[in-house]
Amino acid sequence: MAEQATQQAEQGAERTPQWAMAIDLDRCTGCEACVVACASENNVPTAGEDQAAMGRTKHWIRIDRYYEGEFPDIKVKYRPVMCQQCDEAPCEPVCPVNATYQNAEGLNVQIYNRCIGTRYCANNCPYTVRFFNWFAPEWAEPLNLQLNPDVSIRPSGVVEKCTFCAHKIKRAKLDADADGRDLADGDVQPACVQSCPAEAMVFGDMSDADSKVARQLGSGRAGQLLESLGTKPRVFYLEKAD
Amino acid sequence: MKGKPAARASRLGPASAAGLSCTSLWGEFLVSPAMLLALLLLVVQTASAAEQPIGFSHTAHIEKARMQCTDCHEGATSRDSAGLPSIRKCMLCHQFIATDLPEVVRLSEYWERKREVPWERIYGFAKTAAVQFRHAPHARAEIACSQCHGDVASMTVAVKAVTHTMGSCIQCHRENSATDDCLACHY
Repeated sequence: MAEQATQQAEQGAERTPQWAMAIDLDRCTGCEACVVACASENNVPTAGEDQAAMGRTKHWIRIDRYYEGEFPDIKVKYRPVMCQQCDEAPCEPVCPVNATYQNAEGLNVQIYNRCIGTRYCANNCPYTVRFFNWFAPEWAEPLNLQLNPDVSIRPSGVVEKCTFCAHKIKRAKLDADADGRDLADGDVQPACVQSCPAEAMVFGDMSDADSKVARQLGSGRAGQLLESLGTKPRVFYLEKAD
Repeated sequence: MKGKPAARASRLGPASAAGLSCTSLWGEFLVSPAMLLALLLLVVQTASAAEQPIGFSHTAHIEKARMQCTDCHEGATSRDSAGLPSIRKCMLCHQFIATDLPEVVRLSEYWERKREVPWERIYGFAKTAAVQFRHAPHARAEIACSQCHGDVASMTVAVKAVTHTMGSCIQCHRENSATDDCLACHY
């Protein structure tokens, strides 16, 4: 892939970035700053106290916890899990209306207008990161006053999920375009990456061999969630080095 | 493009005539001249789409005063939305120019009350469309304003001369080999 990238660079052709994320599990402290940042960036509605008590919250990113050992010698491991933007996504072929597909940049796209709410995709996702809107979105005051105008409000009856902050990718591209320059590594920062105080998350173009994310993928520590399923996620987890 | 407002008027012409002849069938005792006048006014109003607080004339500013679209819609080339000017911008000129015109008098009434003019929006996408439109990249691609907004230069109060559908967007995108990825607009 790196060879391909350099070839393209030599030809001077416009390169299509291949977005990927690397999450260093050694750095993640499970603080959930990414969860909060994601919800406010992407207009993810709050479920309310009653619904939350029934486990009906909606989060585009969550922190999975793993416990090792017996009390009191417990070690907790954290793993942020969002849409894995799979290359071989199980959600895509089951959609009867093509509302979800993989675009040229490797993003697993969800088009709300097309979605008819069969929920096949959510049921077929091994990572359980897709959410169906049973109700019209609501925000407890004053959260209703801080909605992001760059992100559409999803109505009831459609499925939604992490977009890798597609609107921020778009914004970064437009900004670069306006300045007449190419998109540089680090120009695009999804809300979770931007907010991570431990800098555990890195986002970028993995087809660019010099990008930070590509270097992390080549570190020998990178693995994927439920790799054996063959979904080929674009989210890579850097496990503890032995 | 230039023929559009004229075509609109001619479409409305026979309709209003038919309306009059219809009412005349009912006899004079049913339809008073006042009602006829009201009907006529209604037709005229729909023709000019004059629900605006002030009958702003685009043609007077563009054709006569030689202004550019972007003089007032400043964001059209650089930002997401083209935007509307603040009343301060209007008054930069109209404190001194054409102060006796009735519409300018109405403008200065807003100014004296320290209020913005509550302009009605003509173009835009419904929230349910989940469309994110950005003006700046289209301006960079040198798409003329008139391509999506019609010949506003010859309009008085702006009317919606062009209907924006996904078909019209996609067609233009394909003709200019711009992206036709759904994610380009729907996110």
